[in-house]
Amino acid sequence: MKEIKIITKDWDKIVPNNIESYRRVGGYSALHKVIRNFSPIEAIEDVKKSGLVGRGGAGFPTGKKWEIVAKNLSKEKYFICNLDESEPGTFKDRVIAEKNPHQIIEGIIIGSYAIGAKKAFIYLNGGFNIARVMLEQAIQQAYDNNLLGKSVMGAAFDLDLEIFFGAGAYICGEETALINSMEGKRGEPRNRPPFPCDCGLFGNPTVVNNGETLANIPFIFKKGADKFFAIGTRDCPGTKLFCVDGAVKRPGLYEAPIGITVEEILNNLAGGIKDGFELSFIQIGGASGRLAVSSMFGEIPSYSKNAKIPLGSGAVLVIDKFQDPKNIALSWLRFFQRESCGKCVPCREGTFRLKAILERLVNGEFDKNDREDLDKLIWVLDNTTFCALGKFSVVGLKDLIKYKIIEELNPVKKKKNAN
Amino acid sequence: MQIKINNKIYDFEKGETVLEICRRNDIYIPTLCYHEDLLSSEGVCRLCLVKTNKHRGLTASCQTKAEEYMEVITEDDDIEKARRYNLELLWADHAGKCKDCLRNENCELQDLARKFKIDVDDFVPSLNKFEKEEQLKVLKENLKNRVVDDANPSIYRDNQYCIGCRRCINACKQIQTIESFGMNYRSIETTVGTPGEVPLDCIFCGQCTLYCPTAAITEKDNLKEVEEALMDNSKMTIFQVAPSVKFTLGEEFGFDPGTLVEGKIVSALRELGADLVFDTTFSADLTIMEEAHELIQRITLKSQNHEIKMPMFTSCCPSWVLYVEKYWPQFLGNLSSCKSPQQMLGALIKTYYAEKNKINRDKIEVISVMPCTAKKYEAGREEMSQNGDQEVDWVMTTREFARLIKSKKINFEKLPDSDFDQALGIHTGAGILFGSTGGVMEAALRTAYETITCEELEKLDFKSIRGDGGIREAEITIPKSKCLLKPLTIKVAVAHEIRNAKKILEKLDRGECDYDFVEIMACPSGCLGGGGQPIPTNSKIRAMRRKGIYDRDKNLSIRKSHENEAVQEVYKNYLGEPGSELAEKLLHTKYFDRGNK
Amino acid sequence: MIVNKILLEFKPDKNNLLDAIKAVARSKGFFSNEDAEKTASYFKLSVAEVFSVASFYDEIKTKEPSNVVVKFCDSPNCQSKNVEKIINEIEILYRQKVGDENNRKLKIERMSCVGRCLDGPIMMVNGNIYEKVNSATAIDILSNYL
Repeated sequence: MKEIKIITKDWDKIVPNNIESYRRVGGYSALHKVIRNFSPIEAIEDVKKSGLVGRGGAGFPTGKKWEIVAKNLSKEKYFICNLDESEPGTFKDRVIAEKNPHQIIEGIIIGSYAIGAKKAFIYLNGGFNIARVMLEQAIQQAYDNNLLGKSVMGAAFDLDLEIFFGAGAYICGEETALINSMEGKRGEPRNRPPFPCDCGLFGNPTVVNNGETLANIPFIFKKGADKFFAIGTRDCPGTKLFCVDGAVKRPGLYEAPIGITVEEILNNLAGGIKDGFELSFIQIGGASGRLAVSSMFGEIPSYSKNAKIPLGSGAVLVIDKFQDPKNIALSWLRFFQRESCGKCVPCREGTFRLKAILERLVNGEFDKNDREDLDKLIWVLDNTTFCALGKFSVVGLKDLIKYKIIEELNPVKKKKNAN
Repeated sequence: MQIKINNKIYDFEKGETVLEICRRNDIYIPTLCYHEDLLSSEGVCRLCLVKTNKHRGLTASCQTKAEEYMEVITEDDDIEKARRYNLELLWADHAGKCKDCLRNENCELQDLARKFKIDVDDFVPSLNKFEKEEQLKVLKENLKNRVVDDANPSIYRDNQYCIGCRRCINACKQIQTIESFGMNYRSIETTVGTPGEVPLDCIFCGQCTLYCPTAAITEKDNLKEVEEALMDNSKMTIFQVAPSVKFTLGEEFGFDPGTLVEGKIVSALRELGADLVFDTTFSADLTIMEEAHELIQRITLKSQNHEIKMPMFTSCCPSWVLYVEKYWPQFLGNLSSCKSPQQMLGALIKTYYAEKNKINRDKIEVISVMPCTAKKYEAGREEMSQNGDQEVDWVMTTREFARLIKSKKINFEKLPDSDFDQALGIHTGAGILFGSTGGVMEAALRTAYETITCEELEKLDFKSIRGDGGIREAEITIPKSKCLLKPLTIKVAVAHEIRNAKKILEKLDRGECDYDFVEIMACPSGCLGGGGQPIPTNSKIRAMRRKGIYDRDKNLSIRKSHENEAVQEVYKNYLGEPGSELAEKLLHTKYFDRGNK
Repeated sequence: MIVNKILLEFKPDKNNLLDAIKAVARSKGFFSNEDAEKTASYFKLSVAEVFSVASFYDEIKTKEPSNVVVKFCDSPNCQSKNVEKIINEIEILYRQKVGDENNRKLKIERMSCVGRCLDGPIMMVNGNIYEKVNSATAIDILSNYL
């Protein structure tokens, strides 16, 4: 398979905290092009043309998001890069920030220019110590080189960029919770509408973009939107960073065009299943990801609305038959129960009760009552929670039931009413 | 603008939520975290979920602003499931605990659980495997995170009952600007609490107890002590009943808010074994005598250009007094030195009445029935005693009193009317007004007017200070008369709720305050909306209570405190005159800087 | 006071609250009630609000932590690398369950994914990350702290 690289291109030639090494491979030429030749609206048109959609998991069209904020007449706007990366099994945004921080910064500056923001933030996971150092140095270098601060590259465009450090909460990866924590509040999600594009940080129009999404921006302007659009699929152009882990020969971080099948990820990227192991299922997208079983090897994970496997964060965890799937299921609920913000009743109480039921499943105490309660809890978490974390917490479970991977969880046959 | 709900068209104003429209039109939507008195429910209980044509799936109606051409459904299978399952999740922590709970039979969660026929055992793994006592331990892992706060005399907290509705946080912040509580921790440990679980140390107004839908925050229950006193044959139990309680206790027995049940209250207390039942409304008149005297003194001294702290603030509200002591100690000198009616009556009972009837003061237990949780704190203040014996021994809130009556199986509705015991039982209309915001002011003005002018005040109603506006102002011009050489203008203000009191204090702090006399009540609408009053509360209920009080005032023959014959007798035979040395000793108090800042 | 010095490094705007709390917590090991009061006074917020914000986040402890705090990532990736077995053995060895708060010397916790899945199972002791641990190495590392 021909190796197409957008994000990791030239990473072997770049010293992360050295802006010159980035420039030598064409770094900041995209920014130069945009500032010299594009009006903000034209820049947005190109991003729209490229077809880039968000790489955090939601898959929202990036150009459209920028356009909504750009069109807002408010004088005060914010651009935020979401580098909170807390989805289990995901290690891509952190790696980009460690290997090529300038790439993200370039994307931020172009985005801020396009939407008319004078202040940008990187929301960085508080535990990413190396990325922090890299980003701090890179930001300083950008200021020193007139890429940040007053009159960026001599143009009538000022931009300040600052890092905001998270304090340890998965839910703060959700954009409204992220904004709340930046405002000095509890990291609880907000009601939507209004969306951050209309009312975000301090009530102002705000763009929140994932780090990997922004890492694609330089390519779009360096090589052209058409070039980007030609890679990947029609619905989801471009490449994706896949974090492959589990019972594979070569776990690692891989970049491949979207359109790659489950089987190709498993075999071509990661070298196939480890010798002597048999596949049980693959979870794609992190702890909130859907499952692929061997009959689905031909499926294409993507952000398309009708994708059978949403890409999510791009995490790919390969679970073999030696693993007890009950433990995996319990680990999902332990995670979501711990990370629930605790605000709404169904998530706070529901994840707690569901975790307890799965503990009983692992301990062999699971009974008929639990099976009924399990269905109720899945329903209530899927349909009544304040934010998507409730839904996330039961995605994997639903698929375990659907594919009959755990016998005790097999769908209960509804008793027909006697007469 | 129009919206369709369950296939019928309804009008609405821009900005209204779907829930508000439904409530207005009696369309049923259950809620727990919403309360009409409070701004911003946050949509956390998930019981108000509905379906609309503008949303995918279920959406919280309390968070959804109505739009033109929106179509809403409030009942279908999914909505029923959403309500039921979320109630089951909440009920899992409360099942089996109702019998001994203070909110038994008056609990919003219990009501909903009954309405939806929630099974006790749901969501509790194998609950029926355990004995009853064990079950409570099994119910929730984080009974290990249970915090019980029993440290203050007024308010009791037990967060095992907390459902995280945040109404107490919002009430404390919005109405009282105090912010005693916050939402703490995350995940299953999320609970309402004080910072770092320190014991509650606020102004004890008890508004939080009114808004809590369960028993997470309640009044401190003193019924055990009251019952002990009643059963102790060596003690003489003398009860006093606050003005507003007469208009609210009935709500606990099915009467409309504002119904005067004074006669039944006296009968109930006698049936419970009270030796004497006095009316706090009597000492409300006494308070007016002392306070009007103090006001006239201050005004006179000020007019003679003496350095005198103005305005004078009323001091019968113990929450308000605590608020000044804790947050604005620089204005302690502005507080009237008068004790509250509760304390004045307690003091007189244990001195004047005891001496007159040759009873040993140690044998008397004074128990007051109050609309107020802070009164429990007030009764325990060191200054509210003589020689180490408190003037008031125990305080029962309206709610506790109702529980006591019910626990003794007294049929309140069928009780005959009885009269208060004489001597310290006669009151005037003026005293009755104490139950409402603006009442103390009006009563004081009636007496002050006649004292200053030596003439009769014909128009007794100071309507400009009635109502429920946050801050009401008036300028009363007292005309020239045989005792008053030139007209005197008194600028007065009345405020209820600490958020409004705060505005006045901030004005005073900036030197922009030219009032002479200000009445402050910490609770919405005054004592009739007090923290010890029946639950639920809302503006409609408070308006009905207020109407009851003012109607009663109108119908009483004596409406001026100084015309109260019993009050006149106490001065003639014991105190001498307002402001006398004995009056100062028994009926006045002092305040302390308890500043947090 | 050290806390006041730390607070002065931040402008008392609410958007600096989280950073300030973290800085104070870092210097003292945890964010005490007294710290909350000082922070509230500096930012002109109520103590209740400051504590409410502080107690939400994992990186801010509001109770004095045990001398040694060991955390194991228990997310699916590390699960698939048998972290559960390691946790069980630590529990048995130290006769203490995950989450027990009664021991001033040691607390065993589970933690969420830190994104080092390829080097899992991940163990963190007093903030120091250890990769690719197994029962033996985990016990060994931990014993050096205790």
